[in-house]
Amino acid sequence: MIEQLRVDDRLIHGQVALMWSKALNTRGIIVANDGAAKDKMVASTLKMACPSSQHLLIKSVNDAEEVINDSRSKAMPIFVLTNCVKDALALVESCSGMIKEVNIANVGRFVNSEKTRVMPNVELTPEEVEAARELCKRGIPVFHQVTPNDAKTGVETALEDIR
Amino acid sequence: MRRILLASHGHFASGLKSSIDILAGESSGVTAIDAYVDNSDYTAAIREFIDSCTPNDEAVIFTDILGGSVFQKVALEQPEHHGVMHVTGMNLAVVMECLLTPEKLTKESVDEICAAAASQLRRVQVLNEEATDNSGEGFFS
Repeated sequence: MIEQLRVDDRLIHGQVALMWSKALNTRGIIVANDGAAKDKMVASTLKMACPSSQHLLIKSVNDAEEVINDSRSKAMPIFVLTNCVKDALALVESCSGMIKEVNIANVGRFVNSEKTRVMPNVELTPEEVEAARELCKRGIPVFHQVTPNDAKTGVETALEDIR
Repeated sequence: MRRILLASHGHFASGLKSSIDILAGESSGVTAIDAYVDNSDYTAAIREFIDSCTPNDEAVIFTDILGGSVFQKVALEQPEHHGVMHVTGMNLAVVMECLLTPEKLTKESVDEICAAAASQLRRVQVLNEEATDNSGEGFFS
């Protein structure tokens, strides 16, 4: 099962590698990102970032859907990462029943277009705000929690004050 | 000119610079980037440092942790293509030695300095422990 789908524009990095894979007790990490799947430089950087305790797959969002829906995913605790809310929504829509929760953790720092600060570390473009609203309607917990030691903030409530 | 950039999550970089200041008496050749202490995008400062290095400079970028996002941001700028070396897992020993060595900083000499500095990171009263390698075959295996 997908123990958590984390939206993090840094994909695999310190917080993910050192803290979350341990806290979630996963055996594998799937990076679902079209750019990383295409760019060898990005992929090899992510491989270096991946802790040795985790098996790693770097897939386009479409290909990641297939892996998540593979019957073997049911028995394996897996951590999935996307770098934007839109990609997370696509996975939740196409992998019904496989994803336990969504954590919108770090988004928007490296986006230079118009964005709104929704929570600390979360700045969303208008399209991302819409995707986040959709995500909150899918019947699974959607929250913001940067490290396992932080409290969870509900995303639906945080979005109420936006626009 | 010898040029050093320290880049870290939080104040490690500026803290290391202040340690160098105390130990070496000055740190004017050292630039520090403290990433994620505010919401600014620090990648421009990395690029600016790389672009400002000339072939005559002996330039090294130090990042705090292998695989961390600061490391990744530096790696993706491909500093080696601009004659700038990238060393990660920085500690005070490696930065001090690179700053103070009378030898020219080359790939070879920096490798030696890294090895020497790494040997300083140890539990006191060392036991001979073999690290276990636990790399996977296939994702579902």
